[in-house]
Amino acid sequence: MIDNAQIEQITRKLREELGEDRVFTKTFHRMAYSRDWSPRDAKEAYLPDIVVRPFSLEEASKMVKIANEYKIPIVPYAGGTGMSGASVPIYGGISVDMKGLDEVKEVDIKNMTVTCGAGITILRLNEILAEYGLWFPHDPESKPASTVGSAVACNNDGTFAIKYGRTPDFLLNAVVVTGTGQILRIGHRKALVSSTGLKLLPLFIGSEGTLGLVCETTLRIYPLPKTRQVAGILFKSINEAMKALQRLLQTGLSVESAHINCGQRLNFYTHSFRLKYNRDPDIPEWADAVLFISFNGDEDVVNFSKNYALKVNKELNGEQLKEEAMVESWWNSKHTGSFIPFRQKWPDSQREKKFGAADLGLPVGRIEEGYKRYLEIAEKNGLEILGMCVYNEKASCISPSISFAVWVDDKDPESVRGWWNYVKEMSIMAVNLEGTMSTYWGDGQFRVGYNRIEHGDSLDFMMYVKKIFDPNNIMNPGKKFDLKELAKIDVKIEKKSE
Amino acid sequence: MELEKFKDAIYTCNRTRCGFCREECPVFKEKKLESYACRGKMLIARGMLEGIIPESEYEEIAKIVNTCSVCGSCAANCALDNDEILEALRADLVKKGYIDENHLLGINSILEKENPFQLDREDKIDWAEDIKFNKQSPILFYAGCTDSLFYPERLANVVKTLKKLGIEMNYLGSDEPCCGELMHTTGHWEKFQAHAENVRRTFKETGVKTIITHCPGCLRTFRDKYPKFVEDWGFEVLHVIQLIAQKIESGEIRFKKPVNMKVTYHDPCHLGRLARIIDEPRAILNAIPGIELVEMKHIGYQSHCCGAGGGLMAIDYELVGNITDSRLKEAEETGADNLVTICPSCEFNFEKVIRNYNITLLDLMDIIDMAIE
Repeated sequence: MIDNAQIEQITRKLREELGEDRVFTKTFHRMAYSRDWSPRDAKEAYLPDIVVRPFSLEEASKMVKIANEYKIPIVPYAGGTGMSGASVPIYGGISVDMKGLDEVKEVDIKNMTVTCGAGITILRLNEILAEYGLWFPHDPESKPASTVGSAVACNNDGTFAIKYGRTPDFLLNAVVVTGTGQILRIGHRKALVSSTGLKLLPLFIGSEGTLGLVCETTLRIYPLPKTRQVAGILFKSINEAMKALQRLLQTGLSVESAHINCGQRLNFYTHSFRLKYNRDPDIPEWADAVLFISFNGDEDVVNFSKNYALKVNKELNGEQLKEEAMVESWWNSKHTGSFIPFRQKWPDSQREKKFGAADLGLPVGRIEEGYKRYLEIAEKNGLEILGMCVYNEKASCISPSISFAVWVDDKDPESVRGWWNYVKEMSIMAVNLEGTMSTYWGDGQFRVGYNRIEHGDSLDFMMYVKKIFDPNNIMNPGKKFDLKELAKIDVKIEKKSE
Repeated sequence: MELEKFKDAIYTCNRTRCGFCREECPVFKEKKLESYACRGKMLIARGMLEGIIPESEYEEIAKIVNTCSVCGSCAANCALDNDEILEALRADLVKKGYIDENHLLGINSILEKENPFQLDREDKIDWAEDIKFNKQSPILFYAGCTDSLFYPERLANVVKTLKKLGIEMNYLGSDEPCCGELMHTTGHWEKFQAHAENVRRTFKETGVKTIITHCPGCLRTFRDKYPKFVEDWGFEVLHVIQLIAQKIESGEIRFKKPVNMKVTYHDPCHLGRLARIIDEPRAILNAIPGIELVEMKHIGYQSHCCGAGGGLMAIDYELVGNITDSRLKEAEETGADNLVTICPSCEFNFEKVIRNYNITLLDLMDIIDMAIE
């Protein structure tokens, strides 16, 4: 444990090295970094001991070196929209606000790459790229707040992943500060593929700040598509919708996004529709799933793609969703973010209860089974069901990343406990169904311990890797790995002479 | 505590954490620290409500909370009324005695001289010397302090233009009180309430039904704040631009004289995002022959602040300068020859540095004046 005298010493040292305006210790500053998006008790707050906002790689490195001297935890903070508690300082320490590292260093039009500080938000990066007619097609809903660095550290989801993939497909190179403060370049510069060496980039993708700080990234970018068309198609069941999507991909169409919502999740859109238009939407009673799709590209190709997709879906008993407003509502929530003023979806829907979703990955053939288990597990844990949405997160193939959503009452400790038990049971269920526990929010604070059910002995090897980058366990302790288990891991590295 | 009234909203933000308020906040963009963003302030507010934050830090919290132009960008990107919550937070801090001295100077000036600039009350009426008003009119022209004291010629032109368009108005002259916006926005709500009661009495005595103003700050204060602070307010409050836009739509006004200019339009926060008067200025510009309107990247509800509002100028002048520069750069990038706005505070702020940019500043009323034969 770090005592107050040490905190004062560390603060003094940080201020000497980085400057007064980089280091904050007042309670109110620390309070602002006390939680993230994850469902937890409304009154819960984990305050860091110190907030540091570095403005350069060198400053970040100096900070980590000082933290190593005192073995004080370092917890990276970017958009604060994580769903797993990864940015929450559960053991106190230093919250590092990465927003200071948000410079776009190079837009390389010839090589179609951008090199930028990891603290830039995805929305801002795309605003800048748009001036060049370019685009970074990683598109999480949280893009107005979440950063490029968090896309790497959390390997989050993106609306266009079925066409462009996600972070592993975009990230070419990174500059990181390891847990010892060493500045390290990893990756293959601007080359898209590489066969040399061992791949360190994938280790940092989804590492949730446990190996080091991702400070700079080089990303693959694309020309901005000229047009886009969006559609919704209703089906009798999720399985029918999945089959239709499989067929769409088989036709050779280039699908830009494909989300399948179950009947309950569809209610989310019908409810907003009723509020806005004061009538029931025109949806047939048999509809129990909706496939939302989009196509991008040149106008003729996009028009053809949409029409062909509708024809194929019709052959497979899919009926086009007539209510354009509902399609628009889906598109607004997933991509444009252009809400009717003053009714942005997120806080408006969270006034009473909090949205929570287990983020499982299941093989396509076991989704129906997973859906049934979801209903049982949610009910068992006393949680109101919000519905399921199947995202597809790998380029050109059915690649289910599934949001199994429920409502959590964060004013009721019982409901919060039920939620975390629900996540655990759902995670184990995913492993039993030959899938994975998490596809977009990671292990964070809450899957520590039981993630061994998925990884088995390979978790030990992950901890060896962690020890190589962070021998003192200061990088985001309590996340991904159990602290007691980490303490037993012993990796000796001969220190390179400087 | 005023914050208690917003407890549900504060906990809604606490549980949501979407952060959509953060990126477009002009202050966060400069400071890059969570405590300056609305989302961070909501957690600070929670910390105050729950007693997590000691009162010894309130003075510094007041500085952070006052480092805000109350531009409403955080509210436009949210379902919560963030601007109102932040003003309530200011009010609580003022009630506890954490008062900014520069704000206080302005407020005392309102109490003594009916303007926040410590200038003589009598100077406020110079602009109206040659103008005849109709004391019987049910429409009151409310000149406002900034326009009266810093843009007297403009103000005279505004009234002359309205007269040309057949709008006759009453004016209170040296009896015109300050609207008290500074009192409200800086959290001095007890003083604001007492002041607002006096203003209401003054207005009622004249028998007017409608108040027209050119200043968006005054408009918002009378239209949106007074009804919450005084009983039986009962006045219709309009911006001049709404009147003119109505007359264009009804066909009463048709501009024939061409004004050959390439212009871009800056939505003042109080008029656009906060008062939701966004289409009208554009409808007017588009109705004037010869005007080519080129829009900036950020307009309407997503327009960027000039930095002048919320008493921020008294708190951090350098920060305001950076915010202003960023907006002027965006205006210049449009390639327009003129930056058009319709707010004396925005104008006051822009004109200090506009010489550094390849664009000139105009009030929309100046252009209307040019377009009228």
